[in-house]
Amino acid sequence: MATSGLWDWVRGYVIIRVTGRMIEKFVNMAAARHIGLYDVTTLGPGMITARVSVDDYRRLHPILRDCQCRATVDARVGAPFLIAALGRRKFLFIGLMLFVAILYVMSSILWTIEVVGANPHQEQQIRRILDDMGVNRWTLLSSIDCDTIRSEITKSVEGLAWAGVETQGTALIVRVAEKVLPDAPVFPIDLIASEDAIVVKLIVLAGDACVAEGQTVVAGQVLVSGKSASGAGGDAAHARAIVEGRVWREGRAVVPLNVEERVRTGRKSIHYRVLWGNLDFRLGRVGSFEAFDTKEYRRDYRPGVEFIRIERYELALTSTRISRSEAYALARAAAEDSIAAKLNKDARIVSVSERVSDENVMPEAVEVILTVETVEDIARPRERQ
Amino acid sequence: MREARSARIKERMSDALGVPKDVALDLPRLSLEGNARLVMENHKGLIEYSADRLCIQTTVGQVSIVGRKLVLRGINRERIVVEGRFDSLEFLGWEVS
Repeated sequence: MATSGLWDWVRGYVIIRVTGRMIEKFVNMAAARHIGLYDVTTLGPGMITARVSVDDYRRLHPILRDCQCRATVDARVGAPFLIAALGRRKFLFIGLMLFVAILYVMSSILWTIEVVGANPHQEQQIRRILDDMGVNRWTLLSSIDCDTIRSEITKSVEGLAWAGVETQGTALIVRVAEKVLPDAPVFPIDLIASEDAIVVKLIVLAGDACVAEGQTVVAGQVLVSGKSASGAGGDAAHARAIVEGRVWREGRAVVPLNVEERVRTGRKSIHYRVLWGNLDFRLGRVGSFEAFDTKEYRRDYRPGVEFIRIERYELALTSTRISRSEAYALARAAAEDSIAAKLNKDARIVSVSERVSDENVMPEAVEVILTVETVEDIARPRERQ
Repeated sequence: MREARSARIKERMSDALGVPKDVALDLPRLSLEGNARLVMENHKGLIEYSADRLCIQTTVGQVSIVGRKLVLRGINRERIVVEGRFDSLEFLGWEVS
């Protein structure tokens, strides 16, 4: 009774329609003879449908006769019927099997070999090694040993830093990374000063020092010279050193006490000038403003005739006076901004000094001069020509 | 009359011995899942079956289900499974109280 749907399907069942007057008797007799009827539904008086297994269906016939009922098969469901249907279409069945078999075979052999990251010469080498190992198209995927291939490639191909071999589907992928060797410089490389500075620290790692600690240098001066590649210490062609210098930088800003602002009032006038040869016409009313901005738009209609549209915008001039302390704050901020733009990121600020202009010397403005003293790396490499 | 008497004796015996009644008296076992599914063991066959009425014979009387869309989900010698929307369940002509 408690059979699973799948098991029913495997054994196969039919859906029958039974008609007759003694339906209940038919059901009882079937049950009494251990014939399982499932999903019994009435369609009306004296008519039911039921699901019954194929084996049981054959055993129903005597009962049907006894109960004077008739049974018709509505549907046949399950594996036995499917197999029978396929048996009738032999070639379809053979084709299906062949398809599955071919798919399986095709997917278990190697189709492509990809080499990633190698230069053409190395790729050729790698492909030859694979060929020698018997790894090529049509090779069974299961017979490919990626570890052996990898060790063989790393052993035999020169200039490889790393190699990886893996199969992805029906492809063999060889990934390699080339060793990259830095090029030796052709000319010696010196270190020069990037700023005017006083050298405070000088540690030469390679090359010859040309300056000493405490010495003043100017921008562009050679600090450490790289030896000639052909000379004694050939490997010291690239001068290397830690050179720190004391550098002063200045930032200045002047802020006048009278600040004049120009604001457009919104009034404007438009007039035109036409230049035709030596003739100069003026069209339209010209606004008479005390102060104004002008915009001109020129246009050539034909050679020799120029047409100019002139727009004047009236300006209101207002001058505001700020206090010395306000002017100082503005000037200080501007000076700081200008110096911040010049400073190197890794410079260590040693001291900051400030000079403010004297009121007697500069009565109508405030000037702030900031001097920042830093210690920073002043060495820059330069190739000797 | 005689059968009724022997049934009463059986009932007393089972009470005295502590044997479950359904075993001793060959009673049907019904289990209901809400009003939608009835499983009955130990039945004696269908008496009437239509979409809104189903009547089952048991050893001691009849069980009648009135409802809608009654489906005989399965039937064999031991069990009957009925599904649908049951409105009433009636016991007709039972000899055992």
